[in-house]
Amino acid sequence: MSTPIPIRSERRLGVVFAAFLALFVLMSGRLFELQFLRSDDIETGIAKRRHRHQKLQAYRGNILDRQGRPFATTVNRYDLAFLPTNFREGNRIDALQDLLVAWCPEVLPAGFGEIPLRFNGRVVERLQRFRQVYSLRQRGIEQLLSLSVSDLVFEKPHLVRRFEKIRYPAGELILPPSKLKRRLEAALLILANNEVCSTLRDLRSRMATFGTLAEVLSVTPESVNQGLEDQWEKLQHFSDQIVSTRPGLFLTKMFEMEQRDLVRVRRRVENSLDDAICAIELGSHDLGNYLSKEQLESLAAELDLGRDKAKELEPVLKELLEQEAQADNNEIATKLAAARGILRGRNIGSLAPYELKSLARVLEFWDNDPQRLKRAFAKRFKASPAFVGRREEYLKIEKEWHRTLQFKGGVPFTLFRGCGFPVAAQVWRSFGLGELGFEVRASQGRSYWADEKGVAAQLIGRRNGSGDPLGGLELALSIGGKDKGIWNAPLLGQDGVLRKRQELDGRWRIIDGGREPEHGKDVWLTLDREMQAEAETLMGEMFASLGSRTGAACCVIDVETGEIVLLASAPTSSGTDYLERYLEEATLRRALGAAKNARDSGDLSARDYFEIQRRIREELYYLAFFERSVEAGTVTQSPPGSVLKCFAAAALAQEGLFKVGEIFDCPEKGPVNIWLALERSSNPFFWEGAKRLGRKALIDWYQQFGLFRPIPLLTKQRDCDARLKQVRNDAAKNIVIGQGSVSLSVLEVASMMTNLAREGRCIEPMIVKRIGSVDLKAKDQNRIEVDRTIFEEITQAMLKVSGHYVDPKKVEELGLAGKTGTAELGGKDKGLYNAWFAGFAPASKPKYAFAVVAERTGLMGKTTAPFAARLIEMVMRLKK
Amino acid sequence: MSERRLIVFAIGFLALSLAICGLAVQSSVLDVTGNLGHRTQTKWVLLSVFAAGVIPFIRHRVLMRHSYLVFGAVLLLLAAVPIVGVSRNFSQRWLEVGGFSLQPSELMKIAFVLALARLLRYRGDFSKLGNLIPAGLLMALPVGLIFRQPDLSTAILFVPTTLSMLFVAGARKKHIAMILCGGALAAILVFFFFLEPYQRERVTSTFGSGSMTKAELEREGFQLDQSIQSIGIGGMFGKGWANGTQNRLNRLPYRHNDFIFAVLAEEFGFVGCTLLFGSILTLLLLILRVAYLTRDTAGRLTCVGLGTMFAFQSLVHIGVNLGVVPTTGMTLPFVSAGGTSLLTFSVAMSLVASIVMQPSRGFGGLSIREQLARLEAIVGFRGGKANHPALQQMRPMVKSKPRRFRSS
Repeated sequence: MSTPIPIRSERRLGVVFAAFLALFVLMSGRLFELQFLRSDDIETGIAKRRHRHQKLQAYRGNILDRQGRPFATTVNRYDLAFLPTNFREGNRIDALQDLLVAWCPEVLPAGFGEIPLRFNGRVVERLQRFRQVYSLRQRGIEQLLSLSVSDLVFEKPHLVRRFEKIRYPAGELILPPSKLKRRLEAALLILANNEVCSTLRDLRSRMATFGTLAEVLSVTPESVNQGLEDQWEKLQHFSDQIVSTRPGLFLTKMFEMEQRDLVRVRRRVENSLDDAICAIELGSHDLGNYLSKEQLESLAAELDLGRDKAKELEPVLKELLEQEAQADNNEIATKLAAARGILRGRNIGSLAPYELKSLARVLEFWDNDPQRLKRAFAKRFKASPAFVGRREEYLKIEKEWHRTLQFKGGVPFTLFRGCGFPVAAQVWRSFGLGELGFEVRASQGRSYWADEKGVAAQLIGRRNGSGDPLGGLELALSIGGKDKGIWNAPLLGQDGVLRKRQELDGRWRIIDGGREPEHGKDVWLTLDREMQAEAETLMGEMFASLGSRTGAACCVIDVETGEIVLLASAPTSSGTDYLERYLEEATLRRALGAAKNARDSGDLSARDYFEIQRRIREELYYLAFFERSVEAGTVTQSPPGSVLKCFAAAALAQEGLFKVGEIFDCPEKGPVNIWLALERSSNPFFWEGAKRLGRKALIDWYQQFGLFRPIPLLTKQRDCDARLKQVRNDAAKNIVIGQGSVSLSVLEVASMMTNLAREGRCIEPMIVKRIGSVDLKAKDQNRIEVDRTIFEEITQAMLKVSGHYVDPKKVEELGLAGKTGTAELGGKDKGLYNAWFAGFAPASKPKYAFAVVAERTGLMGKTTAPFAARLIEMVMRLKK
Repeated sequence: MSERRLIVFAIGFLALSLAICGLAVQSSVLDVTGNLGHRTQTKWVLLSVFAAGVIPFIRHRVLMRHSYLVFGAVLLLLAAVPIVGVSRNFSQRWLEVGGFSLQPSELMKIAFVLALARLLRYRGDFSKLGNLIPAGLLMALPVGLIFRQPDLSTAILFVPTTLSMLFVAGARKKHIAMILCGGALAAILVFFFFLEPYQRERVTSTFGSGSMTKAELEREGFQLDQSIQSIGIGGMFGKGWANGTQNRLNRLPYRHNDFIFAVLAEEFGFVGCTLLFGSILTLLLLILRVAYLTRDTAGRLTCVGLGTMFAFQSLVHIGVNLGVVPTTGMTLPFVSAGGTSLLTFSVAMSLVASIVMQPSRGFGGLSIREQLARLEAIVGFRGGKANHPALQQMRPMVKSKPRRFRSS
């Protein structure tokens, strides 16, 4: 039975309304709290977020030679990158890009042929826009070529005005006028093609003579335009293939590419981890080169590779059979005969495990593929308890990779990396990439002069992909030294800050309170680029002709000023080599460290450790680039041999331990007085001298001449102290003749020779001539109390030494005073020598001190003398 | 002007004012592509005005007669959503019809209120809790389908609507309280076993943000944080139209629909918000006044249902924006962008108008059949005087006696 519903439920209607009213009152309370009680805090927070501090990267200073020609210069590189966080956000640098594309006169460097065909977009429209930009740029080139010399003075008001327009125009791409000026200069030099004029000064001087840039370059606007037309054709060819696609498809493709990149990077992460495991556990990730054939085989056997792997052996056997059919090869035939002996007509699948193992060994299946071994080893290791315990250590690389991958909720995708500005800007503009979220991101790169030839590459050092300096002056000048006033990282400069505020239209506007970047200073070296190149060629010749095992090096110092005129070594390295060699050496060192850790933690027995250590050290020892490639012969130390006798003679004579007329009966060289002993390099005489002088006094005398005295930027105090400590424990007999634990670099020997040539007025050698606009001078050091006559006698003896080994005419002509040094090597280098020749020239009024060494050669020091003569001759010729 | 006409005029005025206010706010919100989204909304406003003008011509009792049919049809549409529906933002809630997006769950709001009003119309015995089960089942069907989309907020909306209709229909307070307790228990179960992880995190970000890590807060509490900041920066009079920092700088996602109150608070301040609250409450008051005035039980329940639906949805939207309710995608009726929502509430308001405007027929505004049924019921209560003169007089007027009201 249904019951009547109450018709009059007015009171309940009231309850419903009252409930909602109460809830709305509560909401009002919350609203009041937010809008009145907490409003100040909220407003402050929001205001803070509307401000942004942008770092203005300081320009890294250039490294120049004494003439101002670049060894290393900073260049801008541009990436076209897509950041997921910026997706759908308008990019506001259109106006700036237009201006720069129109004005930047660099001829397209790489060409558009390099643009991948997978690139899609609303191409027809984009091409139209590109055509406009392109024509603007043509006009820009025409204008540029018609510039007269007065226009090249950048301080001219009209040029400044022209560039002022593009100073921080949209607050996004930061191009201070100085940078624009550099870019224009660089562009001019590119147009000048580095042949007509290599510096802007050249260009200006030529333009002063001729009229316009076009005349200097012997080009016309038409010829430049022809080049551009070619590029245009390439672009059209490219566009034909993508013209029918849609933007949506482009995005899809782009994300597909991103996915592929992601997969590729993950694979790289995995490989890096495998590499790390092999490097730490086995000593190297490059098993193919690191392990011998027997070791590879043993490792493969240990990993059970090949066992029960009949399927994997089959293709190997099949391939061998095919090869046998195609060519008559004894090796293959032998392998197959052995394989047939094991198979005896059966299938691989029916072989017993031990037979499979034998077959694999016969087919060299195990040791043919170190990559496979590496993966297998890493796989096994990852499953072992050792890996679980030390996971953090091994996953470091993986973590780093993933960190770079995770850029605020998305994977950054880079379409072009390190391209020139015109390509980046034009692609960006022409294809509307800004609307799709792409950004042109500027970064600093480093360009090295004569990269292929590698002149002074070791000395200058490099920067790796991340911009970190690796060795050489790049590192030394970035770190700075104790003397903060001069050496406090002159190359780096100080980054600036740009303060911006976001307006309601979304644009970021620059506000006051920022700081301009303080760019790194240009560093002028005392070296001469051409002289250095010739010296390296000469050292290369010496290295080859003297059969040196590790290398040859030379150093020449200006006696008057203390400037290091050249510091060359061989073999030199190209830019690419440099990094490879550096990493090779680093890997070996890491392996050594890993082995040591393993021994300390008890994972490796002491015996095994010493075996590994011996092997790695041997490899490092004979690595031609070991240390030399990094330290450029500055710290590459080897016993200097009899070269040190010059300084010993000075000490003995000054101390009066041998009277002028005193004759010593040398069992090897006959009766000699002190100067004859120096000339004939009599070891017994100097042993007797060391006995009379005493070890401490001998070391003190050597130190007065500059032994183990640090040289700014080139040698380290700690290293010098360590070597001195070793020498103090050595026998005086060794020290006096430069043997045993005495080890010096060419730079140090040349420095000591400089002090000898300066008759005891010691000077600190310098490699940097000028920092920014400040000229530097070499510091005078101690004065050695030695009679002038003693120096004269030593010089005469050295002249006679030179006369023995160098064409006397040349000795006379150059005034070459030198001393040979032949340091006998022991241990595994028994029978080899470090062949030295060091001295100064001209003898009458010394101008250059020098030292030359050929390391681990089978020849005596005298063989290096002719090369030293050629070196000094070359220096004098080029100095003139 | 009679009170009824005045009410109709006031409802129309307030609804239109809210819609225009919505257009104004939306025009200050640039959409993600830089286009002005309010242009589309203007078209929907015009369409809604047209629809709201047509509905009053359809008599409420006709609608009521076909309410089950409408409910069934919309239920079918809802059931079709998981099969042919369109997915956006990880939810499948829309049907594409002739280039238009239709959200059946919005239509279900009206269809459900009509169907429930019809169900409760003659069901007067609420002495037992079991008698509430049919209403519960009617609610469970759409709620289940909507919950699966997933659209938790819309699904929840049906619960207070049902409760308020039951309450006004005469359900016992004790039973309502029991249902509320049961609902609370069910909510806990649903929270732990049926909610998607993102839904759980939204709840925790509202009530337990203190214990969340920074990353979790950034991920889940981002919208909430931005919304609170937008409201907080408004102050007394706001930043002015199209001058809101949070709005113009695109800091607040979904500010054209789910967070439009935050934009309004930022640009029009406390004064603007109070006016909005006042408008919503006045509209609710008018709807309940219509419920009070009408003698048609179904009409009254319809008004209560629609009023509750409107006020509760507004309340949830504002609560989400103020950070007192877990973040959920709920539009502010008439103000937020969203065509179906606007259309639904316009139709709802015009339904209320049609109820208040329907002609009074017979005693107390009831139809003859309703009067007969009531009389039979009253007489039956008083001792079963089946041959009461009044009944004898009325029976010939009714052609056939409805079966369900057969007196015992």
